[in-house]
Amino acid sequence: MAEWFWRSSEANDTQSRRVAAPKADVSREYLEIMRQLNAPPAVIKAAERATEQRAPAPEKD
Amino acid sequence: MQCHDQPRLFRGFLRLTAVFTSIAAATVGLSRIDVLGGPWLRAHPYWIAAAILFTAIVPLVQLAVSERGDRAARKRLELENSVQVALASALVLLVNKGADWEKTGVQAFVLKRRWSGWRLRQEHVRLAKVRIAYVRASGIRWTRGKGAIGRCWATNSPQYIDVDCHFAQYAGYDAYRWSTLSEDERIGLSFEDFQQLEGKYGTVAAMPITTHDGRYIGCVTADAPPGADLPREEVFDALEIAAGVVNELLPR
Repeated sequence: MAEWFWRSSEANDTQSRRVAAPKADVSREYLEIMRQLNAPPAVIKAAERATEQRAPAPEKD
Repeated sequence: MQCHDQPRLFRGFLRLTAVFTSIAAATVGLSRIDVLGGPWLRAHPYWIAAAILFTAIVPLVQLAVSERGDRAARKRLELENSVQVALASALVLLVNKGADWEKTGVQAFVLKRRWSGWRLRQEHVRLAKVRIAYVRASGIRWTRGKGAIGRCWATNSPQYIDVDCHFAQYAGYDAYRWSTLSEDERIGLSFEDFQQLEGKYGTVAAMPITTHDGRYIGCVTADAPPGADLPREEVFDALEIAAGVVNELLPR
């Protein structure tokens, strides 16, 4: 199998294995950056909705 | 959402109406004289009536279409600005995690139906991009299966491809040797695409934008030139959030 495909598949696995806490941290950091960039309120609201909807990742086995 | 084809359609409409308005005006004018078909036109007054009606209605239609086009352009610009903020935030997040701030680029694409010859087909249209350094656009259409973006569409899953490393083994290939490679090895690229992209990208990552029922509608990408760092875990985090935000910003 080509190397790129292997890398993509691995990326998927890694995604599903990620734990919830770092995800929440990253979401918070993203929102903070957005506020610092003076994003319009509508965009910040959209970002808040998007970060809320980020599915909590399953627990690490 | 308004299609990027609209200005082109609008220009086509303007050209067409300009031609017909000229014909209509000439028809009305010629009907008043005794040469160049004037007597024939007077014998067929319906043509004159149609020409008068046409010249009366066309400016009103042009006004309506033009206002609609302006509204669409404003909405497009607003969307582009909003998506740009979402992408800029993702880029800053990436830079905080170690990506090269000068060389990393973040872009958002959505699928659009566009005419290609006589066929209506879906293709990626760029909504917005954020990048500090200037990079010449490749002009390549990222169709289904072509490159990281096309693979993201075909598989509806995140992609992370070290293009530079992958293509290093094919450096110096000619068109024939390239054609002997499998679709996976070529990452869906033609030989011309390969030549054009050689050395341009180091790493490319793409995250799908999907509807709540999982349908692929576009993607958010990050790329860096050869030698620039683009940490995989962090790029997926940033792109995942940005894809969600772009999805929220797109008109329903």
